[in-house]
Amino acid sequence: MERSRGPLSGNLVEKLSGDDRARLLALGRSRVFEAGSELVRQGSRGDCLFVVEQGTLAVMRSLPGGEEEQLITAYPGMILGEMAVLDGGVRAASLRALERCVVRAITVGGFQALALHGGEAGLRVLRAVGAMMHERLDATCAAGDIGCDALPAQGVRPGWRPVDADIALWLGILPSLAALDEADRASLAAHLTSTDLRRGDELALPEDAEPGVTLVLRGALSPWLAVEGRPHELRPPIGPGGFVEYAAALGLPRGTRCWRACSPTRLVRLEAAVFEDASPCAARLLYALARDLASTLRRATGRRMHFETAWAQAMRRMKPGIATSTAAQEA
Amino acid sequence: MCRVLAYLGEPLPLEDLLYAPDNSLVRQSYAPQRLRMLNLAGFGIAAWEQATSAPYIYHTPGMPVFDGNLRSLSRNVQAGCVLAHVRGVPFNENTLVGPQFLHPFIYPGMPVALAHNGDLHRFAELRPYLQRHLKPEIARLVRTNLDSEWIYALFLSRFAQPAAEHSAQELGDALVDTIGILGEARERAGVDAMSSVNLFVADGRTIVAARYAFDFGCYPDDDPQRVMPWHLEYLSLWYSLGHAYACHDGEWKMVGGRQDASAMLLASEPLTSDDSTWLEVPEYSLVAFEARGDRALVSARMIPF
Repeated sequence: MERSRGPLSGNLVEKLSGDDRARLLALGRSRVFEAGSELVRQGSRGDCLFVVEQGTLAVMRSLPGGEEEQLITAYPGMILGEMAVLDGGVRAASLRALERCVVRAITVGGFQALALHGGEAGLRVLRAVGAMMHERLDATCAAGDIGCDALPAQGVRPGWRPVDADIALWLGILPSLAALDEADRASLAAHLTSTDLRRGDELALPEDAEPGVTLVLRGALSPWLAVEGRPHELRPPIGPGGFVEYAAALGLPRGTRCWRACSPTRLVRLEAAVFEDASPCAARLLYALARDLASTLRRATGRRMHFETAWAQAMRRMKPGIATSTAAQEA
Repeated sequence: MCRVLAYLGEPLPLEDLLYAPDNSLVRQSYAPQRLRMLNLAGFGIAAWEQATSAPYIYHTPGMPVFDGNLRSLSRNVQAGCVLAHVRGVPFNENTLVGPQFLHPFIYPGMPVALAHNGDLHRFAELRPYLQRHLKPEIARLVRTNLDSEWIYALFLSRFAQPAAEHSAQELGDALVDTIGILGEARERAGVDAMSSVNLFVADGRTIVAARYAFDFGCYPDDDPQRVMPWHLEYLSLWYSLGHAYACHDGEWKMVGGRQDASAMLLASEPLTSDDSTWLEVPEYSLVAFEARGDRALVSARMIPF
């Protein structure tokens, strides 16, 4: 049975111009899969991503207990398998041809060559990939359909100040920025501001008119404000190196999100302009953002399945009509 | 930093849990897949054959992979509820190593065992604040100054009658209260460096686990060279559900579907390199598994931070 939700939906090809689409597809090689054949298996290493050219595929996810569920049906134009390519993890789902399919397989090396060394076109592809990951993350984290609490009150406004002189050294410890070199980090220092939060502080981002990209330097933020009950969304907490606010880098509308500091936390904010020039540093930053979103999406998918599993059991134990309230108390 | 395994379901030979899977707990002592350190400071297990029986307890300060007795026993002992632990410690001369420091902790006459994955930074400074939260009859049983044993004593002290049986809800409440007291002690002592407390309790019928970290991401801020990978990652905690845990096509896994599951495995890292049938317990949350008839009931909740 196919699920109605669409965390894996998204059509990358539609987000690209004709020229960029041609550049991307030129990196790959078309492969034909007969109906019923498996393109990739969940848990295997991801060495390429796929663009569906003809036919339909089932995206299948294993469940505890040895079962499987079909997450979505993939149609021509959709890109698949990019999560493992971006974050270097294993395949998060299996792909099966529902009919005879033609897919364009693009290797990690080919994709990285375009993304990191393809100039303006590479940046546009990276922004499109980042935007698609963002859409999937939002869809996966929306918890309203599994009975979560409503978004609670707004947070506070932090004060941003210049960063310390040794900021470049501290950027070097962040796993998400590992691909940046020393010169990149030094050049970013002039474009950074920072703010400190106390444990338990809440804030809403973005919180002013200046577009920027916000990362956690130290500590952690969580969107789980309603901690006594069910979370209002399933986004995982974000630790050192995680991107908190990034809409400006991807050219997305800026939507407000509330966060609570799990720990004494230092945030750094990078001017959005840094992402706009066609420099190698901007490409590495955008790639780091896309990789961070892929990694967050992987975690969010798992936690969604966890809460569905735990709460579905609680629901079944309850009598019809009182299931939601009683299960919420129990949870 | 330790590795932990818990099981609830139909009785199984311990060997199937401790040795058979490709990423078994014994293997995790010397080759963990999701931890950048070895767990060389001993092994312990509490295993209940039946829900009503007293647990079989085994502790060894040696490495389980070299323990022929453990291997032999594991082939011949079956259990329907298991809590096992391999101990990992910092590699320096100040570390306390010995049989009295081995998890799971279970005091005489108490029905619940506890194991801990993590550590409490500057624990010696927290003890004065924690002392007042211990029941006198529990405080008398405390043998060491180890953070994990004190967590166990604090946990038992949350019950009006520590030696009585408790529901999954009550065990979960006591774990959350214990974490709250630890947080309060850290606040009073001015401790704000990261400390992980993944906690596991079992009583033969119920297993409850918490995945939690105080001040996650608060690494040493005086020198970037002192920041270690474990300052930047939550300690992992995974589980799987099903009707039976068995070897299928050469791979150990839960089978039979998750609907009305009757067995569960909980572990610091999946027992198999293929983690596709495992789910991660979310950070700052608690899961409880309770054997009720032929089913293992699951519940989940958030833990305040």
